[in-house]
Amino acid sequence: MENATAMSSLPTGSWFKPTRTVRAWPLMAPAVGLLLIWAIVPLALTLWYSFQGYNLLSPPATFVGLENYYFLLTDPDLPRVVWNTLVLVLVPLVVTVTAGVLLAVLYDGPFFGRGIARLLVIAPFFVMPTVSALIWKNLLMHPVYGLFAWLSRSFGMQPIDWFTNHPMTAIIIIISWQWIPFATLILLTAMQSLDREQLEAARMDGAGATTSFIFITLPHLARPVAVVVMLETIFFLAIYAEILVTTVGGPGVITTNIPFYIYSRGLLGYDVGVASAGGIFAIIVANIVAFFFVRAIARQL
Amino acid sequence: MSGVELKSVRKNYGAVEVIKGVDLTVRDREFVVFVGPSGCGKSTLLRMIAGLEEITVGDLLIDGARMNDVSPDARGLAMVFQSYALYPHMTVAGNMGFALMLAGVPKAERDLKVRQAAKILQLEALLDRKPGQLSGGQRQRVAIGRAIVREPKVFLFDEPLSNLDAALRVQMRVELAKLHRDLNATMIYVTHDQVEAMTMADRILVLRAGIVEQVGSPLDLYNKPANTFVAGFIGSPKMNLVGASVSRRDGQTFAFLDGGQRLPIGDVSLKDGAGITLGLRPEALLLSAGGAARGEVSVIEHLGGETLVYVDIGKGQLLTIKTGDQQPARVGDIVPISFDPSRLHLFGPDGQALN
Ligand SMILES: Nc1ncnc2c1ncn2[C@@H]1O[C@H](COP(=O)(O)OP(=O)(O)O)[C@@H](O)[C@H]1O
Ligand SMILES: [Mg+2]
Repeated sequence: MENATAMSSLPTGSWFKPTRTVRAWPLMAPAVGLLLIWAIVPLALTLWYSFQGYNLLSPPATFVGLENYYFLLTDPDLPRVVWNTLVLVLVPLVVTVTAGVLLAVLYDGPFFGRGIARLLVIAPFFVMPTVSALIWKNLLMHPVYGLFAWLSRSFGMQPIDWFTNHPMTAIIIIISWQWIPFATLILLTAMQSLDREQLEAARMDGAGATTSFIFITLPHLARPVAVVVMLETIFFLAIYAEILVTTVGGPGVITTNIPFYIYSRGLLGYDVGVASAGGIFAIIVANIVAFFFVRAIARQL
Repeated sequence: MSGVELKSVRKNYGAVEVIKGVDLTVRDREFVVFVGPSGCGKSTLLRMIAGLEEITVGDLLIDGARMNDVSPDARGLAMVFQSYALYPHMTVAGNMGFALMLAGVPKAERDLKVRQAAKILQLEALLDRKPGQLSGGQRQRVAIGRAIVREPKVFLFDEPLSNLDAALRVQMRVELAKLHRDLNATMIYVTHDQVEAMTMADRILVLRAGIVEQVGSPLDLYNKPANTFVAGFIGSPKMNLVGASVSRRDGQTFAFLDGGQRLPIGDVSLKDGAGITLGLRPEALLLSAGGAARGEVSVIEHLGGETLVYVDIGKGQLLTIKTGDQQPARVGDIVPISFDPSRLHLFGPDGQALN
């Protein structure tokens, strides 16, 4: 509005057109510039190194063209690594969202000791990934000293050696345990904004508990579920600490995902060039995942 | 036949008694309004009929059958909520057809019924919209439509008009009255607004703090309020309630007003000096000579068609007088006040009507 009046007072045909962008950019430049540097510099460096043959054991770096990419894409481990990455995103997503919805609905109703129960269900979120992975590895899933092993033995069963025989499942359990609180917290908050009269209206319309859950509660939770899925996807694509502490990507590459693959090439194999190419590859995979998810979810928001 | 019967119904929340024994028979096709100030238990009583609140003590009968333990959807009722409680993720048609869908009514029949209800409420053009895309008045109609589609024995309304603006409220009031006539249905309607109660009800139940103060037709309540609460609650502007004490002289009974004036009243069976309350409706008072009392005009409100004159009759006690005259007096005038003795209400020391 102000611009419009200011413009009309200028002589027509003037070269000077006061637009919002012209006046605002000097003020926005520092913030945008900083963010740009923040994002661009690491990306540019990664891109640069991905074209270099650079092993920390035999410097200096030499330009090798696409050789690193060729090595990466012909690596027989790669399909398994990509698959693991997707599994470690999708399965925990399904588990945490399902458990989160159920817990949110359960904890929304009044019951004795609800305050403490809510605090307890949130608690795992405050435990650092490394610490929780260590607890699971040594206190719970350890085939000799673990609680699960003790339980199995007290029922006369053979204890399960989780990290040897079911390493992916074990990691998925740990990740899910850590992230169920997050899903529960967000969905519980959402439950509190559900109009009770809607549920009562549904009850008068003849809906039982299951029917009103499907027709009233679930649609109400669609948006917060979308938020949970989006945020968790970002974190699950970058899972690393839990693998490092428990299986170190093994046995073989059975539990190696892309972040851990990059780590093992770069800091175990000292091959910065291939690790950088892996980094670029990870960005591409993340963008493909984001493309499908965000498009589906953005419609919800 | 779709009558509703409440037999000494009570409701406790823990140790707190919210409904303290209500007896009521709603006859077939009757429009009964529960009215009372906010927090008096109207919604609770309605929700007990609906089955959304448990009945602590007493019986609820619909068509003669005891309904205390019957689930809400099996009672043959439909309810319109104050917040409308529309399902935000369904279309208008989906909202209206939801109950039928759950009941397993085939789609063709369902659509037909939804369309019929939509026609009554002029919602046909909106059937594919979501509630979020509707105005307040349209949402209100959808909520009513959702009730109509179920063809209930009894309609329950909980303050359905309180979220609408004044003009729309008057319009919907008329439409609801018309709907009641067209559908030939039994309706129970909750409101805190006595105008809504007076204009729509066949019978009004006045509730205060969980106790029924009076049940009767609008004119009964207006003409013969059972106590000072009903007297003050029904009618607008409010009835003038003036404190006085009984005094007898020369075989005549007088009321000595707290403001110092004296009015002759009919005989009452009360001792001299007993405290009573005189009730006079603003429209029963006249600014004319030969009057029983006088006072100083302190405020005049011009509403056009009528004028409200506030007269100080001593010790700051204001009487509201309603007149059709546009210039009945000026502020500061000393005016005589008279009234038809047959329109004087007398209430005893306990607030109950004498006579
Ligand atoms: N779930 C509840 N627990 C305890 N007290 C309640 C509950 N619901 C309502 N009440 C109390 O019951 C009284 C009547 O409430 P309500 O029926 O909603 O009044 P209104 O006449 O305004 O509709 C109020 O004093 C309210 O505080
Ligand atoms: Mg209420």
